[in-house]
Amino acid sequence: MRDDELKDGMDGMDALLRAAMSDPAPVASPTFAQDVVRHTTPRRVTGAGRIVLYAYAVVAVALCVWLMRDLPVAVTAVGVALVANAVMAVALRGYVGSLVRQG
Amino acid sequence: MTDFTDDQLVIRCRDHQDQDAFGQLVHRYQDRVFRLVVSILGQEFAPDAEDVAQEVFVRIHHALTTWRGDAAFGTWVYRITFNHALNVKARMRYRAPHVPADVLATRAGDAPSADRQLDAARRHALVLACVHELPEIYQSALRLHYWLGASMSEIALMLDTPENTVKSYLHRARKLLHVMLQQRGIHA
Repeated sequence: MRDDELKDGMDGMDALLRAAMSDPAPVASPTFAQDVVRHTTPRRVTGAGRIVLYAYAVVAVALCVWLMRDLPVAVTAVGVALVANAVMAVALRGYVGSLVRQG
Repeated sequence: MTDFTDDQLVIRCRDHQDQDAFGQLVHRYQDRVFRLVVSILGQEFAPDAEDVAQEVFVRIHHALTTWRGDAAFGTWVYRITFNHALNVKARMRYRAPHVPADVLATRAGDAPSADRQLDAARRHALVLACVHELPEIYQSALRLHYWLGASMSEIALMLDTPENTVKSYLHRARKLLHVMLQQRGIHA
């Protein structure tokens, strides 16, 4: 193929590509950034949700103590077990939170 | 917050969980990320581009802790975008959209110069099919240039390559297409 033939071909190719790709280019929706930020914002527990969680914890502890009242276990041991569980729950919450942040 | 550099915004977002800072970063890069995604997915999958671009930003948000600042933030963003869009495209190939022949025939039949329009539509479809067979980087450069109207400097930025290399990509892509179309009986 001669150089001038190739050049003509390239010019024609240019025009053909422009015609083949003449569809209107898509654009992102105006709320794109807001949607992304909403997706990446960690969900916070609402006030009502927090009350439900605290109520659950109090009821669970009370129920636990009441059910164990007749067992031959010292009150101190029950207290230690409950505190140890609470500490473990807080530690796990921190660890899971860091995993979520890392993705 | 518009005065902050990318690095400052990343630090605010990463170390102080400042979502406004991340919103500013998204605002800064959304157009280019979206266009890069569109250029990789191509015309058929353009409707999916917004979802893919959103996934890219979610990935970037999760990966902010791994960004060390060795490269410019933009370069890092475009690299993640390119890789993610390529992965998505590889999955999408298995559900390629199909345009029924009767739809095309009906549309062409309504026009006065139906034969000529149909012929042009076929030529254009063939050109786009040949574009699909090119290496991904050529496809992306072609779509950014011809379809999305991006400048050479913008394409160079998004593909993380010098402007001269972009020109070379476009030239080689046109040459390859010219040969491919000639083999299919179309002379540009």
